[in-house]
Amino acid sequence: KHSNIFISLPRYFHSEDEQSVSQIGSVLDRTDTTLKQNGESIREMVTRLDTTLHRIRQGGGEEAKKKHVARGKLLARDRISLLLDPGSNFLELSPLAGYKLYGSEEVPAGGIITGIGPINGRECMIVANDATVKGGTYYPITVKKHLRAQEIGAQNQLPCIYLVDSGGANLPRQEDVFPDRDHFGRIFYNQAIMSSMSVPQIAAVMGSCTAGGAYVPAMADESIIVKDKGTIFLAGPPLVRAATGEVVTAQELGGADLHCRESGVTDYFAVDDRHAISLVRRIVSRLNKKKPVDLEIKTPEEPLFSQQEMHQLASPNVQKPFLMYEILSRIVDGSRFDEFKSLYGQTLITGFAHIHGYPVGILANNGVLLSESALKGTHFIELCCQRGIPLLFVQNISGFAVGRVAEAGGIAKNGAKMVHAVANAKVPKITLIVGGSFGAGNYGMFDCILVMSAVFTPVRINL
Amino acid sequence: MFEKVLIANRGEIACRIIKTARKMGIQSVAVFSDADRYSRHVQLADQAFYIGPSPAIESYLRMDKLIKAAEMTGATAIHPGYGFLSESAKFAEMVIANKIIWIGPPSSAIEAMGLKSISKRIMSEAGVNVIPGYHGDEQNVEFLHEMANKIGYPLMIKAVAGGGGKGMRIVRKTEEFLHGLKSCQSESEKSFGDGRVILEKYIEKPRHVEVQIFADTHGNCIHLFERDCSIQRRHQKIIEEAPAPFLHHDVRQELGQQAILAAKRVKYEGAGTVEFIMDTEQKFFFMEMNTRLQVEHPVTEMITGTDLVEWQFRVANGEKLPAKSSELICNGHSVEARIYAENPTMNFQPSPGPLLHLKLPTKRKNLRIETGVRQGDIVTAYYDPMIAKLVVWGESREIAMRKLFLALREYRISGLHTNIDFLSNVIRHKPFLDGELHTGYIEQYHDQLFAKNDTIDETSLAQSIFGLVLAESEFLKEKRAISQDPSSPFSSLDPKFQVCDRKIDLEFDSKTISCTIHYIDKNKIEITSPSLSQPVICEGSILQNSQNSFDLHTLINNELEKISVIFDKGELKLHKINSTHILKQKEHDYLSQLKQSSIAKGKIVSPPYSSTLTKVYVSQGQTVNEGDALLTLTAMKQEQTIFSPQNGIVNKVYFEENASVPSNSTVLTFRIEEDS
Repeated sequence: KHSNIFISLPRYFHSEDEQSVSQIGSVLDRTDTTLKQNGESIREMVTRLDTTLHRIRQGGGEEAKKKHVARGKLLARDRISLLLDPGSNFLELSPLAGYKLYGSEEVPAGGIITGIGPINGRECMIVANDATVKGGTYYPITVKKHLRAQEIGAQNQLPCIYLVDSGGANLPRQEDVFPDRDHFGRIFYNQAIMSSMSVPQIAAVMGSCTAGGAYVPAMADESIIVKDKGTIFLAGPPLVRAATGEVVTAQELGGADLHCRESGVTDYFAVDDRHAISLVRRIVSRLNKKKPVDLEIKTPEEPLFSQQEMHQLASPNVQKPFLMYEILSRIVDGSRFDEFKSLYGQTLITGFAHIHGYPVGILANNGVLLSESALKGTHFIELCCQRGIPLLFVQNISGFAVGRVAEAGGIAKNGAKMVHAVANAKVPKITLIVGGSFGAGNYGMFDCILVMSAVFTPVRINL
Repeated sequence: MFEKVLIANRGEIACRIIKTARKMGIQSVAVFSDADRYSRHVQLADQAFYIGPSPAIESYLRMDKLIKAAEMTGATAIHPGYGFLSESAKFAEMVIANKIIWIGPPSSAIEAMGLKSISKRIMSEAGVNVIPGYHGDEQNVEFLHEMANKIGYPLMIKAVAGGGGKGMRIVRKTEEFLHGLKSCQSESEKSFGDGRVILEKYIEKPRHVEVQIFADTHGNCIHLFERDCSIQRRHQKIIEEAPAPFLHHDVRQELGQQAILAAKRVKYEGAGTVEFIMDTEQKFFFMEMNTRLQVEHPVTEMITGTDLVEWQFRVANGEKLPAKSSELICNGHSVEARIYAENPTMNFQPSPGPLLHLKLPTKRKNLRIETGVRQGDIVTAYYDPMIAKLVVWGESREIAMRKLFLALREYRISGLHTNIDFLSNVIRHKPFLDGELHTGYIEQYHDQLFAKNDTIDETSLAQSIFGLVLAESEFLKEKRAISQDPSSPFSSLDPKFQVCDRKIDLEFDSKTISCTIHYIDKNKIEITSPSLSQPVICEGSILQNSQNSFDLHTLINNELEKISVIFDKGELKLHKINSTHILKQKEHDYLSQLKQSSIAKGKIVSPPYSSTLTKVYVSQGQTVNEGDALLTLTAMKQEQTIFSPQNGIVNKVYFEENASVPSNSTVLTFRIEEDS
C-alpha cells in the first residue's frame, strides 16, 4: 500500500545519511563546572579586550579630534565609514598595533587605520592615516602596519585606497623608519609593484602629505586632492625657507590648485572630504576589474551549535588541552566536517568544510606534532593546493615531538616536509590561533595571508 | 442581448464596463490611442482597436474612427462611458444611423439637457424647482439690470455657453452689476464665442446633491437615491457619498420625485443624473442633468446592491428595468474618494508621471478599487490624471469614513504626486464629519487641511532612520546576490565589523538633522541625535520589500508599529497609519558648490522639472557681465530669471523663446573671459 512512498524516499534518506556522516560537535554539558568557570573567565577577558579596542577607536583623544573637525576635516574613521557601501562590514586589521609599545607614548591603532571593506561592491584595502594621533606621523609600527596592509592587498588583488593625512616620518624614531628594506621606502616599492600587477592604487590627499609621504599620491595610479586641506611637497615651507630663503605658504607650495592646475601631480580636485570620498567611489566603480572567484560557493549556513559556547571550550590555562572538534563544529557551516585520515596521525586534525559558503581545508592541532601528523598534514596541504582550496590553520601547538624516539622517526625531516608544503602552497592561508603557538611547530602552521587572533581564547605566541 | 460591445472610452471606466460585460457573457472591444497601447483596459478587453494618436481630439473624440472600429470588429453596441463623447447628441445619432445600439439616452434628451438655459426653461415648465433667475434671450443691459434687481442679491452672472468655472461672476450689490456683467460678457465672448448671459440667484455655501435616475423604453422611470458631491476642488468632485448625509426625510423624498419629473419630461432612457444645488436651509434647485453614467456611480451601487452598467445594457437591449422603485432599499452608507495624480500643495496641479511603485489596499469585502492603471504604467498628460477611485461601504457614514481612511492609508504610490494624503485629511476633518458640506469647503478650511507638517515626533524620526538603515542593507544584499560572490560576508551587516558609529545627515523642513547610529545587532540600532531628547533604541524587521518601498515592523519602547518607508528622488517618505512625514537626503556642501561651479564651467542648466523658456535676453556672441539677466524660465506658474554668474561671452542658446525645456538640460553656454 505504501510502496509508492518507499520508491521516492530512499534518495532523500540517502542524502540525509551522507550529511550525517560528516556531522561533528555536540551540545555542551551545562552542569560541568570547569566549562562554566572557563566561560566566565574568558568572557571577562573578552570584555577587557572590548574596552581596550573601544578606547583605541577613539584615536588621538577628544582634544585632538575637536581640533581636527574644526579644520573642516572628517575623522579618519568617519572617512572610511562614508567611503564604504552603507550597511556593509569592515574587516579592520591590527587595531592593537602600537598598544603599549612606546612606553608612555600612546599610539592608538599605530596611528593608521587599515582594513578591507566594499566600495560599490568591490572589496578594497583601505589605508587611512589618523591625523589625530601625533599628526598622523609614521612610527616604526605605522610603517609595519601600512606594509602589512599592502601585502594583503597585493596577495588578494584588492584595490588599495590611501586616505592620506600624515606629517611624514616620526623624526625622533627615524632610525627605525627610514633605513631598512621593510621601512618607509618599501611603501612606494609596493605601490610600484602592485600597480604593475594591475592592483589599482588610489590616493586621496586629505591633509598634509610631506616629504617621503608625498610619494604616496605621486606613485598612485589616480590621485585626488582636497582644496585648502591637502598639501603635497617634498619639503615644507620652513625647510624651503631655510634652504633657499623663499617664503611661501603651504597651499602655495603644494595645495590643490597648484597640483591640479600647474604641476599635474594630482588628477582630481575635490572641494572637501566628502567630495574626495565620492570621487574615490566613482574611481573604484570604473576600475573594470571583476573579482576573480574560482571557488565553488555554497549557500552559507550557521553552525548547529552555539558560538557563544566557544567561551567555555577554552581554558584560561593554555596548557590544558582543547575539545578541538567542538571548536571546529562551531566554526564550519552546518557543523559538517569531512575529516581526512581520521585514524592516522591524530594529533593533527585535517579535513574539508565550508565556512560562510566558501570551501576550506582545515588543519587543527590536537596535541604535539608527531612524524605521522606532519606527513598527514603535508599530504592534506598538497591535496588542497591541487584543488585550489584555501587553507585554515587552527593553532594550538606546543611544538614538534621531542626525544630519541621522535628523532629516530625522522621528525626533523617530516616536519621539514610540512614546512615545505606550507611555504609552497599557493592557496589563501589563514591562521586562527586558539591556544598556544610554541616552538618550531609554528613554522609548520604559520605561513599566513591573514593572521586573525581569535578573540575567544587567550593567545600566546612564543617562538 | 447584443453579443459584442465597443467601449468608446479608456481608463478605469472602460475597465469597469468590461467587467460587467464579461459577467453577462458579452464580448468587449476596447479602443486605444498611441499612449494607451499597453494600458490596462486594452489588456482586459477581449479585443482592441487602434484609433489614432495620443491627443483625444485625434482618437477618443473621433466619431468616424469609433464607428469604423465597431464595424470592423463586429460590435453591435457602443458604450460611451463618461466624458469624451458620452454626451454628444451627434455621436448618439451617428451610432444609431449606423444600426449600432447606443447605450445611452436618446439624442433628443441629450440635446434638451445640453444647453443650460434651455434645460432650465424646460424644467421650470415641468414644475421642477429652478433657481430664481433670468434665462431669456433679451440681452439688453438695462433690462438685465432690472431683472437682476428683481431676483435679488447676491447674484450670479453666468455665460450661456459657460462651464468649468469660466464666464461666471458673483455680484453682491446692485452698484456692482454693470461692471460684473461687462467682464463676464467679454470673457465668455473670448472663451466660447458667445457673449450671452443668464442671471441666477447666488447661493451661499451651496451643497451639490444629485439623484441617480434610471428609465427604460417602456415608460418606467425610477430613482436610486441621491448622492452628495459637495467636496470639490477646481470645480471637480473628489469625494462623493451616498446617500447624501444629514438630509430631512421630506427633502429626500422631494428630491427623488423632482428628479423623476425632470427625466420624464425629456422622455429619458437609461442612466442619468439630475444635479441640484442646495442651500443651507436644504432648499434645492435644479442645476443640470447629466445624460450619462457618472464617475461616482459606484456609491449608488454599493447602497442599492445593483450593477448600473448591467442596467444600462438591459435598457439598451429594450428590457424593462431590473427592479421596481419599491424593491430598492437604501442600505448603509458608501463613499468614494478619487485618487488623482496631482499636487495638492501646488493648487492641485496635475502631476503626470510613472507609477514606479503602486501598492493597493488589501482586497476585502465592501471595498472597491476602480482603476485603469498598474504599477509601471505612466499617467500621461493627455488624459484625466485620475489614478483610481476608492469606494467603501459601511453600516453608517462614520464607519464608512473610517474604513475609507484606513484604505487610503494603505495605498502606496511613488513616482508622482498624489492627493491621497490630502483626501485622508479631508475625511477626518471635524466639520466634514459633522456634515458641514458645501462646494467651497476646501477653500474655507484651506489652512487646516493644508496644515504645514513642520514637526516630526521623535519616534517617527527614529523610525525613518531605522527604515533607511534597513533599506540600505537590503539594497546591498540585493546587489550582492547578483554579483559573482553572492555570499560575501561583507554585505550582510555585522555590528562587530564596523569601523565606527555611522553618521547620517537628513533634512526635514529645511533643517538638518544629524544622527549617529550605533549598531547593536543586525536589526537593532541606537540612534543619538541633537534632535532627540535621549538616545532611542529601535529594532525591527522588514515585512515586505518591493522596488523602493519597504513595509516594516519597528519596536521602540515596547511599542510595535507597522510602518512603510518609501524612497523617491532623494526623499524618504515615512508612512504611518495616522501621519506621513517626508525627510530629504541632505545635500552636502560639495554638491551645492559643484552646482555653482557647473555654472562657472560655462553652462546654464535648467531646473529638474520641465519648464518653458519665456524670455532670452542675450544672443550668441554677446558679452555679458556678472549679474546680467540671461534668460527667464517659467514652470508651474513661477518665473525664474537666471543671471550670469560671471563675465563671459555667450556661446550658444540651445532653445528658442517659448520652447519647452526638458528637465536638467543645458539651456545656454558661454565662454569665460579669463583675466589675464
